[in-house]
Amino acid sequence: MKKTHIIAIAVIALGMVALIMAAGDMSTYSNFQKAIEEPGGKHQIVGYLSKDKPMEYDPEVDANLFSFFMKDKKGMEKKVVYIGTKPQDFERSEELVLTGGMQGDEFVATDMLMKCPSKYTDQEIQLKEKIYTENK
Amino acid sequence: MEYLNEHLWPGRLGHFLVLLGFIGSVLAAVSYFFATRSSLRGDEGEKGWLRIGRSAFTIHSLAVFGIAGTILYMMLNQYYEYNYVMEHVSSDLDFSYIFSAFWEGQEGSFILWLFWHAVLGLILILVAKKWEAPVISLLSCIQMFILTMILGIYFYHGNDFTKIGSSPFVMVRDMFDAPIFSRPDYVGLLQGKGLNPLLQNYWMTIHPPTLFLGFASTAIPFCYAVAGLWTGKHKEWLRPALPWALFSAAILGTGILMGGAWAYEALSFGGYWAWDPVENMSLVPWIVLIAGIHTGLVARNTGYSIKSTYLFFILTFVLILYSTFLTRSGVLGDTSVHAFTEMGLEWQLVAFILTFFIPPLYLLIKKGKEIPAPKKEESAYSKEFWMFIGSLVLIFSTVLISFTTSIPVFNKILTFFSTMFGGNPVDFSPPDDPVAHYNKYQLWIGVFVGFLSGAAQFLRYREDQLSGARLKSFAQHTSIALIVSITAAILMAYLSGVWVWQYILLLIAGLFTIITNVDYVISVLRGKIKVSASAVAHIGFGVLMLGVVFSGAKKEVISKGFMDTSAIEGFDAQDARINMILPKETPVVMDDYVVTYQGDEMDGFTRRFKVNYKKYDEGKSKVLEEFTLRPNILYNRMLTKVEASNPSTKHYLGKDIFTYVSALPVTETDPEAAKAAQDSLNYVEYIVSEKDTMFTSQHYIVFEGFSQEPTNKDYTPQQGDIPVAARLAARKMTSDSVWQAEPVYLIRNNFGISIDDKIEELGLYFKFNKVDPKARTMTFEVAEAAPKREYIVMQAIVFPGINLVWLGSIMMMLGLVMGMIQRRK
Repeated sequence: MKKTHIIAIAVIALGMVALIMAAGDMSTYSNFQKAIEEPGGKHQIVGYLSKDKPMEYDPEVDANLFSFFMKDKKGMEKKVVYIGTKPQDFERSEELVLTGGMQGDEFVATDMLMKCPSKYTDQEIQLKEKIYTENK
Repeated sequence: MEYLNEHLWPGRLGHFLVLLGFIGSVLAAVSYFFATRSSLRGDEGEKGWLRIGRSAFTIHSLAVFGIAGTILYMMLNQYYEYNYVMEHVSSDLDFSYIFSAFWEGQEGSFILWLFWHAVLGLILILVAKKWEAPVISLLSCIQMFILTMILGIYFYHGNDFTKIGSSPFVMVRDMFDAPIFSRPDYVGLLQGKGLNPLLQNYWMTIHPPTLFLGFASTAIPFCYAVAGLWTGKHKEWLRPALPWALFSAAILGTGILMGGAWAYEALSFGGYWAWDPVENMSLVPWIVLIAGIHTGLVARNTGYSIKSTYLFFILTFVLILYSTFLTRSGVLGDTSVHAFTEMGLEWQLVAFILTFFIPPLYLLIKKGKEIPAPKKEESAYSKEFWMFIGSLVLIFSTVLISFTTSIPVFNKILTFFSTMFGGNPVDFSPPDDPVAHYNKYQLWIGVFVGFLSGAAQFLRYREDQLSGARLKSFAQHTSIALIVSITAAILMAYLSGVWVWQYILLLIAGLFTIITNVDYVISVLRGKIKVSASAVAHIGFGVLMLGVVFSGAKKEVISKGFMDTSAIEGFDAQDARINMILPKETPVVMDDYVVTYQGDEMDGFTRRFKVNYKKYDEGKSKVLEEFTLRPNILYNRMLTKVEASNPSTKHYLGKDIFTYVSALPVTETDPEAAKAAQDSLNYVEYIVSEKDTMFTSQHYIVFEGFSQEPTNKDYTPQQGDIPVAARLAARKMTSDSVWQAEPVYLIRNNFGISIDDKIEELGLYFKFNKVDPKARTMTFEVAEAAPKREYIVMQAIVFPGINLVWLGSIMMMLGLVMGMIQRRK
């Protein structure tokens, strides 16, 4: 067997090991129920902003504290405390992905990804609004 | 219905040009195919086919330029009846952003990609000589596929339809069904949506064309590789392909680098690299291309590694297609901040990938036996052996990056199979901390590649043994470099406080590359810069590693909020507290600096904040250094909403200080909140005589007297008015400063009217409601709001060594360009 083959096999083997280890870093998306059951752990939860519940951000009290309510995909609603400022256009977000864990009755998130409505639907809304006002 | 004022000809022309371009590419692909076949068989037809192929590709290219020109024309003239124009242009869009608007959308960026392929193809017609036919035949196939993305053909079956491509020439009224289109004059009612404010900067003008030239140029080594397999000239294709590969790596690298610089300079991502899926998937093909260049050099010099070079150049282009699929199919939605939204072209994109992956791979396996390779295996002391190992490690790095980045794709595929058998959807999430995840693995690869690219320079091609004088020289050069870099790394780490073993290891590897390559230029190449392309590129890699260590490890958020009222502990909650409130004119200490928010100014839709930084000496008496940063925010056209926040950065040679406004008082960003604050004022009635004093909770106000000639700006005199102005002097309970207000009471047409006044700094509002001439008393209403608070919430981050990142990256690109020039000869 050639040396390059042996080394290639070694690299592939190493690659497999690394991939298995890397896969260990992965988890599945969690939900509030799981986060309550494992309060120490870190969770990534996908859900929707509860637009009817209060959102609070007052930098004069704490510039790094923004609280709101979110409903996870299973339908459970929890108060979320996000460590950071209130993102622009937050009200319009469709889906949220939070990273963090439960503390008491609140979910403390250190990271948040917002998914905003796509341009197309946005445009349709604009067009509809426009047409509505035109016809009035 | 007859519509008024529609411009139908550009759309018709556009559709025609798309079809013409498509037919041109088919014809070019076919003619060049036959030209290649004739040439392989040695029959007569080659010249004729070649002539047709050339004309077809030229027509195709002209059609592509025409498509781009037509869209630009429609955009410049604001023909909003076309959906693409309506979506990306608006009447107040600056002319200089017209190109940015052009490639903001998916269709436009496909056209940009087509454009570069056409330009590169025309150059190939001039320079490729005997490779012209097979290479452009393949390039035309690629063009054909990309053109289908903008074809916009619908196949109806019942109520359902299958869409092939999304045309940029579709009219709004064909896209949406709305009552507005029942009006013949609807065109005049349409308004453009305009360019996303986040994209309104010069980066958007230069980054996409560079990146897409990078994408497009990876197709050339790919076409050469497939052409080599096809024609069986397994050695000859390498010579013309290598300069193209080096060109491609330089341009694609520059494009990726510009993306990083954009993220760092103008966006608020707080860094130049975040391991975002979109970033990753442009880096991965670049690394594979670099691996291909290394094996290609080995193949050119020794005849080894031809198969790997084939594979890597094919993979580079396929990975570009995969990256296109990831960013454009909407599959990354949950994991990336800058992916496009869905467009319904997913299956088309998948077909695109498979078409350019499976057949070349099949060809490579089928012809594997006939690809020449030296009988004797590589010596472990030879340069080619270690260059091959290095390339393998680079590929290993890309496998790891692609694996984690592809998690959403795995979810899609697994869910598809799982639900087919009645199971649940699969929902794997990416790592909780992606940056740590990627760094953990890439660290070792970086260290290994660093040592390798230093030591391998002193090895020679086809060297069987390393003994005697050669061994001595090799050992001398590498061991001295190793000792110097270990010493220097430990010293640097100690002095800068980066006392973490992983970082020290990276520093050693980076320094080792730099030292050995500089040594190589001096002692082996005798300072001949012209031939030192690889040394320049590798020194750049070493410098980049140092930059990554310092900017990553020593990146420091200095706007750490010290007040934690919420008592939230654990997780990374304390680390995440990176915003600080800065009340106006109130100095705040941040690390070595005293930072003051001094005020703001409006300029069009942009609001600039003046943030002053001062650094004092130890006695706090002398200002050592002072500068002002001007971060800004961009409001929307109604001045009611913040669209974008742009950072401002102070650059030093050794570090950067990055400042960015992350929040403002809610009354300044939300018109409803501002109105609510006005409405909630609580007025209290006071009935007073001249010289009397009114007390509120925080202030006292003396009614000093009357005037018949009001100076209140809100008052416009009219004939027959009987005005009375009250002179009020307000003071805070705690200070002696005096503020003046002058509410006016007037009788106009027998009605009493109050012209109100206010003192905003104190939050005092006055109404003047009644004058009682008999009792000589006046009735005022006074409201006291919380005084208007002016502040910004901002982040300040210090990035040391960021210039090493830029310098190292630029040197790498320079090395690639030097290599290209050297190899072209």
